[in-house]
Amino acid sequence: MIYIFTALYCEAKPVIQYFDLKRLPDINGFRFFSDGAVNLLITGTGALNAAIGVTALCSVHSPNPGDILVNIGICGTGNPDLKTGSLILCNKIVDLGAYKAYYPDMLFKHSFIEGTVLTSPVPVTGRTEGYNGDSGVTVTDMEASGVFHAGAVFFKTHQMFFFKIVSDHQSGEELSSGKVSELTEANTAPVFGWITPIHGELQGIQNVFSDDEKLLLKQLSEMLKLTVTMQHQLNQVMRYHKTRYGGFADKLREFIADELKQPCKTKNEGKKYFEELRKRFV
Amino acid sequence: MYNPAFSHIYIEKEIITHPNTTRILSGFPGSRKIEIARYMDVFSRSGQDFVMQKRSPSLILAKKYDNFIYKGAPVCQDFGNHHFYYATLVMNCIYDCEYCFLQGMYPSANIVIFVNLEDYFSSVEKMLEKHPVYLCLSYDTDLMALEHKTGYVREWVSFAGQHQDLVIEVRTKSASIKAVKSLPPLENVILAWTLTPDTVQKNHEHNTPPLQQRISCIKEAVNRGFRVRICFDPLIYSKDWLSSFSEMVDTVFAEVPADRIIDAGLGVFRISRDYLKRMRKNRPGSAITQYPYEYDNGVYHYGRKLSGSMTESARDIISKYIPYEKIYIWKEAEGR
Repeated sequence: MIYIFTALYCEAKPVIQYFDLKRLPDINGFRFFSDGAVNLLITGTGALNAAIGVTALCSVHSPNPGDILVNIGICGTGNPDLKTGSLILCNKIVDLGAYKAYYPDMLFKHSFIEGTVLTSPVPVTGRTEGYNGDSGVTVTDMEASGVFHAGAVFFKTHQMFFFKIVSDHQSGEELSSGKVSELTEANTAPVFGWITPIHGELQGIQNVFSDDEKLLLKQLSEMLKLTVTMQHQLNQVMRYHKTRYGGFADKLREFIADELKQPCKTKNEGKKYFEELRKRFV
Repeated sequence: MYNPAFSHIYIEKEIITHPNTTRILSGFPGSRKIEIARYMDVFSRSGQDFVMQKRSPSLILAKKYDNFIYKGAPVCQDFGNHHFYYATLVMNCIYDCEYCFLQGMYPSANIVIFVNLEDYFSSVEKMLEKHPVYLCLSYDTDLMALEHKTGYVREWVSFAGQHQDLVIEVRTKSASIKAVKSLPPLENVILAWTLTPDTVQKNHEHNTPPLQQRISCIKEAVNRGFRVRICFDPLIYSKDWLSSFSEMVDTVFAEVPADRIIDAGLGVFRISRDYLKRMRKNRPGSAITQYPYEYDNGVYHYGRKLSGSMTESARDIISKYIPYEKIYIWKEAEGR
């Protein structure tokens, strides 16, 4: 699952169209779109709203280790070298309210401009980047730190990506929603064309036990009348066997059919079989 | 898909102009530099994935403010040295060994290099005013493997050359003959190689040089007159561990003159409970982390019977080449 957070509907619109997302019932008052594989939530402006929005969605739809969080939206900059429409992948997020820095992992190759985003509690019309003092690319938004702060509760640091699209140069000009959508639309395919294979890579990281193996272990635990501690020990033995030899299901079924045959009557009897299992599978 | 190692370098603002920072950065001209306040802001973040980060580790350049030298921990072999200490010059390692305790100890796979070597040297000099010092430099990293980027081993060897009461040990799995050739062999410098059988190296020590390359490097070090130690630690159990181990020891001493090795270390894999818990979570697919170890006194191990028999068998094999009294064994019961 890809979790996308934008502040405004006009930022979300091109993404909704790109993935052909459908509007679903709001989540705690936040507009929510999904197709079952991609979730998009509009948080409203400001880091606090962003944090609440992330928490609201992720509390209802819990992310797993293969999922990805994307924050995409417009930003301002005082850097004249960054043209309107420039796309920045953020390697550093500074919350100007708390003056705290956050760092998403930068594990994957890309061809975007990298930079720092300063999350300001109020719209920025001056040279806010002056607070940062870093050399390099700096832009300003109002949500990224909130998305990171709340996102870190549900995602690991390598699962979160922050994209900012330069929309203004902090001169105080008004931006129409149409213009914002236009800027986002131009960057939607590059962002999600890059994200999708990464999502595939992370999805490839799976649990050690298949559903079939989990069921088999549960059945065996019941047949052997194992205590909770011994169930953990059994799982550990089988986890080891699987990592060392590739699988255990067939060998375990043979053991059940040839040795165990029927459920144990007492815990002591189960313990004897468990010791025998341990000898065979370690 | 993944960035190459050290594509991103985080640098504490305070040491941005330190000579070691400049020197190290010159070795990474293509890397992106990101300024940070303190290394913990990146290294100690919550929610990091050690194994994912190992695929593309970042570098962090930092300043260490205190605790330059630590008293040797009971779980480390002291090789009979009374004033036994270690220093953490670098946190984490460029290699990726599935059994390594660092993945249980640190929240991140990124590598921190402390650039203020001068403070470490001052600290050691103060200790040397009171007593001799035996100092291990490469416990929380593989310093020699980073030598082409840091030059730290050369600096410490030079420092040791000026302080006869200091003995330094540099432990490594690296195989850089060039690095060995660049160092002067000194009486108070010990180069220690950790060796494991080919099967363990290939399957569980990712990014490390093969056994044969390490042996070639040991030969070079011995020929140049270095004092060399060999560490057979950790021994990793599998059904055929004994034949693999025996074959490895024979291979090593067929090429390396045993009488030129000062001593050998030996230890069966053991790990603290808290570390193993994290390691199992980090590496659900590793046969080493997922082995059903036995637990007592805060430590997971293969069980006294198996650990004992592995130790005895390994010692017998090594003793064909190295005298018994020069084989140092990590003894669990004594905590040393």
